[in-house]
Amino acid sequence: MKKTKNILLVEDNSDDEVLTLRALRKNRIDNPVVVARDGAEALDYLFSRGLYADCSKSELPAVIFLDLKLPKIGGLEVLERLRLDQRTRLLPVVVLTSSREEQDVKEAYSLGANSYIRKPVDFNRFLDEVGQLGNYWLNLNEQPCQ
Amino acid sequence: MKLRYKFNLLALGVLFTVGIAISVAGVFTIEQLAYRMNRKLMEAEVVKVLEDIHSAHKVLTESGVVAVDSYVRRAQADILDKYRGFRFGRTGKMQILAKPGSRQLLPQLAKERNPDIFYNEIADQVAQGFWQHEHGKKSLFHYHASFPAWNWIVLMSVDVDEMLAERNAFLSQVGWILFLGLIVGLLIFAWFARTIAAPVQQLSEAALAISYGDWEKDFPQSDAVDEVGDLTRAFSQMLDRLLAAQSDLEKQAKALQNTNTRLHLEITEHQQTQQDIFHLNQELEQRVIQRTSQLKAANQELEAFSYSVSHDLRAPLRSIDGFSQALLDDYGDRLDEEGQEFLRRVRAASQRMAQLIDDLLYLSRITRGEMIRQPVDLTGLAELVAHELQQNNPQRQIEVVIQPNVIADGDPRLLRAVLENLLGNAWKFTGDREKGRIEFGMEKIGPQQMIHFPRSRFIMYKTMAQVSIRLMRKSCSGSFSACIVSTNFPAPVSDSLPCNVLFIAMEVRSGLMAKLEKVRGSFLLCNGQLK
Repeated sequence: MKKTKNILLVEDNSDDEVLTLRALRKNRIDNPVVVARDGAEALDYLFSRGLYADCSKSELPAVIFLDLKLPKIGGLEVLERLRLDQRTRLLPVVVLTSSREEQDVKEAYSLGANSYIRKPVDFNRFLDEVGQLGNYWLNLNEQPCQ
Repeated sequence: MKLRYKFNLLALGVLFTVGIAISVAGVFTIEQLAYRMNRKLMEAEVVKVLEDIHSAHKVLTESGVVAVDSYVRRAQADILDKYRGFRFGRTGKMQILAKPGSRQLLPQLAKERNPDIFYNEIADQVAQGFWQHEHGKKSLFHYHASFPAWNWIVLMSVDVDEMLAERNAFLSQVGWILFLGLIVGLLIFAWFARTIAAPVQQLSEAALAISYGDWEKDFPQSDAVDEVGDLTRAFSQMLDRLLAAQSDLEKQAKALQNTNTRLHLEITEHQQTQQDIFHLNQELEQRVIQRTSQLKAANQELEAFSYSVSHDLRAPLRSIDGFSQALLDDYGDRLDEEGQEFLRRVRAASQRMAQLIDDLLYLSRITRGEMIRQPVDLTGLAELVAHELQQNNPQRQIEVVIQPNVIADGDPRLLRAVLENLLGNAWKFTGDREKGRIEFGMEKIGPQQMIHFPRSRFIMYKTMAQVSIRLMRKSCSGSFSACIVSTNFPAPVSDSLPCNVLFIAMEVRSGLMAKLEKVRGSFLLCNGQLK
């Protein structure tokens, strides 16, 4: 049975959420997208608890687009917890943020991020980047079986 | 007892003892002499009497009448008459006596009994000899000889006192001489004590007093014309000098003490100062630590600020750009050309603002680190930067001419920023031309000249002429400032002139300039010289 490849978008800014979803649509990536608006919600979804406790059949996403500046639980902490858990240890995580601070980049990679993308201001470039990301992580990249 | 008296008495005693010894010896000698002389004289007198008796007896014998009493009587009477009243010296007496119990022809002999003479004593003596006899208060010295044919004894007696008269005279003379000698000796010694021993003693007392540090004592004076006088005068002179030296020493000691006190004070002060310095240093260190931590905090704040700028400021820009594009995409057909143009302008503005934010972050990042001074190959750096510019804008045809062997002394990171800015601006401001030419190099100009730098020569270090003029205008408009960065230049360049100074004209934002101003020593900023 072919799995549906979900995308988990962790993003607190609604503008960015809309623009990211638009960019995905424009690139004809029609995989289901789950949006978590803070770190806690993202973790609840991934570990099936809280609001998502009753979603017995919730699938793990194929890729996570993770912002760093998040309310409640920060992006880097979310990443750290994911990597500590056996189930989510190998999930591909793309850090999608507006920061280009060397410190953030280093920390994200040392915590096990698979990619680090800085969101450009120019929407056309963003469109292009999202297209490439979707194509790469959803089509090109091979993941081990969960 | 004073020393001088001891001396006197000792000397006197010795002299006196010697005198007495000599006198006693003399007395004995004289006594012996008197005895011997008197004995000889007495013996001689007695022998003379005996010879007379012998010769009378001999005459009688030769005449053959020795047995005839009358002749004998006559001869005996003659002898007695001859020596009757004989005197020897003052008290000496001659007596002719008959042996006791003997037959005598002359009655006066038989009768005459001298009560002074004790016949027993005479009888005890030998035939002749000396003997002494105490007779009443007088002491007599006798000599006797016997004439056995007639049973006669001739006796000579002398008073002992008379015999020893010379001795007594000598004794009294010696006594007088000794007494006078004693008096004279005492006088001499008194004089000696007064003129020699006393001054010497005074000197010794004075020396002793000085040795105990008693300078107040009266010191001896003398006008005697002898060695002791000289000594006393020399001593008092020496004393004067010693006193002077002593007072000098006391003054010096006082001065030394003052100096010591002052030194002590100074040392205390010095120690106080040192302690103060130590405290100040500690305070300073404390302050440095405090300032460092404040600076660290400020830096962290700045980083936090940069972080939030990079995150938060860009997010709305992304929205503006993204939704403008969305409008263009989705509702473009409902807008006329002008509306679309407006949206494009909105997008361009938001993108430029994003670029500004990026530049700002970049500048704050490059000036954040420590400065490292080292020789930097500016030619290589300029080539690198120009190459990057060319790659980013491949459609532009810009001729870039870079002078070889330009080496500067400075921080490579900051110099790269300078060159990126400089060449980037040159690139940008030649943007309205199809073809452009950018030159990079340097010329020798002294720092004094630089201050009076004419506008036209601003180009010296060659970006292009029109680029520089534009820079000037910009600086006048107030939105940007222009500055000259000079840096020491250790190696000569290819041309023959030794080049010490490198000038780079650049356009910077005031933010960078403020940063560069902190980097003293490497960059000399001449802000405001270019009006």
